[in-house]
Amino acid sequence: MKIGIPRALLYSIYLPLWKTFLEELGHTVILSNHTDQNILDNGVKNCVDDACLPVKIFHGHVTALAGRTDIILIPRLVSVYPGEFICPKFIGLPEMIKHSVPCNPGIIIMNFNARFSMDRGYDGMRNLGRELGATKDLVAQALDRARIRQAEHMRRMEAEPGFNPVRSIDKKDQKPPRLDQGIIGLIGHPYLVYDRYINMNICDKLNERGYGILFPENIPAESVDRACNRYPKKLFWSYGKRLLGSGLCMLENKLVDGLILLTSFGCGIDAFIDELLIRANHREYKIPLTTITLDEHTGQAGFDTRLEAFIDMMEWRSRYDNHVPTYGTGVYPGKSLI
Amino acid sequence: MSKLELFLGLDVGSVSINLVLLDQRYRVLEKLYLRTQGKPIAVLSEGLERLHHTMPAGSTIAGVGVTGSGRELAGAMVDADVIKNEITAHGMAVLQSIPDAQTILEIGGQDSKIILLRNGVVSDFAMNTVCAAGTGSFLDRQAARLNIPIQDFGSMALKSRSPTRIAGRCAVFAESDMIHKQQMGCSLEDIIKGLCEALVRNYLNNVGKGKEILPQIVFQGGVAANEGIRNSFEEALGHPVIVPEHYDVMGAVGAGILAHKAIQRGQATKFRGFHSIRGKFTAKSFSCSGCANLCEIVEFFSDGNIKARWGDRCGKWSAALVNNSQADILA
Repeated sequence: MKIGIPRALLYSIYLPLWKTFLEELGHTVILSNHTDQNILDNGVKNCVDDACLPVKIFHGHVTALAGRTDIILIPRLVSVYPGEFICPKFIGLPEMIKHSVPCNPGIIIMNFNARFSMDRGYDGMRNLGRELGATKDLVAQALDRARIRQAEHMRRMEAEPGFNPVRSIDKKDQKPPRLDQGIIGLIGHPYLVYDRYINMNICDKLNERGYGILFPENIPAESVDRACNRYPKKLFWSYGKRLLGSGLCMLENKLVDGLILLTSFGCGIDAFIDELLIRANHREYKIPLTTITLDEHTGQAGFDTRLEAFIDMMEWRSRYDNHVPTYGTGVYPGKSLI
Repeated sequence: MSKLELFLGLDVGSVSINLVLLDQRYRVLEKLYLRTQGKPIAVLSEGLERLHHTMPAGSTIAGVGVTGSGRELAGAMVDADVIKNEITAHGMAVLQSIPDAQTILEIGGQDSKIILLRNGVVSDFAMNTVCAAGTGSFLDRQAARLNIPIQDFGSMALKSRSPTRIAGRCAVFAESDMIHKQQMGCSLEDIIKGLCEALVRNYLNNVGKGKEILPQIVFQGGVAANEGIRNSFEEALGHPVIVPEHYDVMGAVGAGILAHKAIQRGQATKFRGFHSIRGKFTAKSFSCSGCANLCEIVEFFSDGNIKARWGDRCGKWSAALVNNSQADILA
């Protein structure tokens, strides 16, 4: 069977798991194209109007797959880590698709709920395998192989700074390391930082100015947890925790020269996660930091202005920080000591 | 006497196009503030022509800098030496004219921004996000609705005795609130002052959120002409707010200064004289069909010869554009 997987939301993180599993069961996996204008337009047209941009884009990818495949896989991620949940829009995703996408493509739902334990999280995949007609043994074998692939994907994300999972999925080289200006931490959900259409190609733009990038997924899970321990309560939305914890870890260990927070307009979790990070930076670390809000704009001018101004500011500040006054002159330019 | 070398700064914004001529000590010799009226090419050509006639005898243009949302367009037209964003340009202009300034409040036609200056460099900034409520174009519209010339808007606010409370979160809410208050019988002065306070409240909550606003505070951009807003800023912040002499063209001043710095660093000016901008400039756009993104490509012609292209995501069209070097001009 030809099974379509939308290249949207968390596919960049979990694709090796899903794809290997389905292929091991003997199916062909077809991915939608990378997000483009057409997909965005279709997403906006076929989605409830107050959903966030990434959810709209997911709808666009489903529309793009309709007709090209026998059936489309819609993941329902409830919890990806024991004791934690993720954004409820992921839980309602299959229903949103069923009721919003008009051409009514056939869909299959793959549940993932690791709330009680990691292993029980895979029950949804086991059930799906049986529904697709595979034997219990084949399902177990497929899942084992899929988990090995996934573990390798996760390992590389943590082990290789600047590792871009989408480039890995596309079997492209990771960026060459001729990036000597510094490192910028790019804090945002995977569906923003790895989707070069929505984020106006921010990664290439930073690379062109000579900056390497550190993504939230590059920070090991234990460091994320440790960094979040400073807060009195557990941050139970896994991706919120990852953004905040990875940002804090980058700040604490001086891994980056600046932080850019990418957020899509109306994201509930970012509204307070970003704020916590901004406050922590303001209180303790004081490195250049900016927030860039993404929405349906296609004009790049406003985005480029903010990005360029931010890089200028970083370079201007760093030149000042490295400024050693000569004897008899003030530390502050323009003010004489004598 | 040696030739007088001047620098040209241009700020091509959504509402106004500003041109300044600076001398080497960054004194503004000449300035023009023109309404964009949706025709940046025509208005800029006309402005440059006017500026050319006011140049002192024996002076030459030694460098050109452009900024503003139309900076690519203007940069291609005049062969600019520096094309820079507005934050850097505004920061530079204030650092040169008011060295002890620590905060810049800037409200223009479509943008509002806050820039923090510490130790002589830009240390933090923020711009309005997706909404343009509370910027110059909204004030323009309200003045037109109330049939008051925009120049008188600020002075009317100062006459208010008990300002009304207007919702400032959203321009649409603000307008309906203003109409309610007007129908209740509140005086026009009180409503206008209420609007000024609402804009300031919104600006400080939105753009200025979490920023440490320390004196000296400089207020610039077209809206700084409005005494009512300035007055409300002073009340809200508890500090005097300075409106610099050239508040309306500070972006252009900054662009001129950046051009001077680029030339000082040994870059040769690309500007080829005013005669070279007398040609007929045209722009046309088309939708690229190379991929599903359908980018809108703008082609810019001078006397029928292609000068620049922009608008593509992949860079295949704009690669023809002469790359303005990201020269190291900030220090």
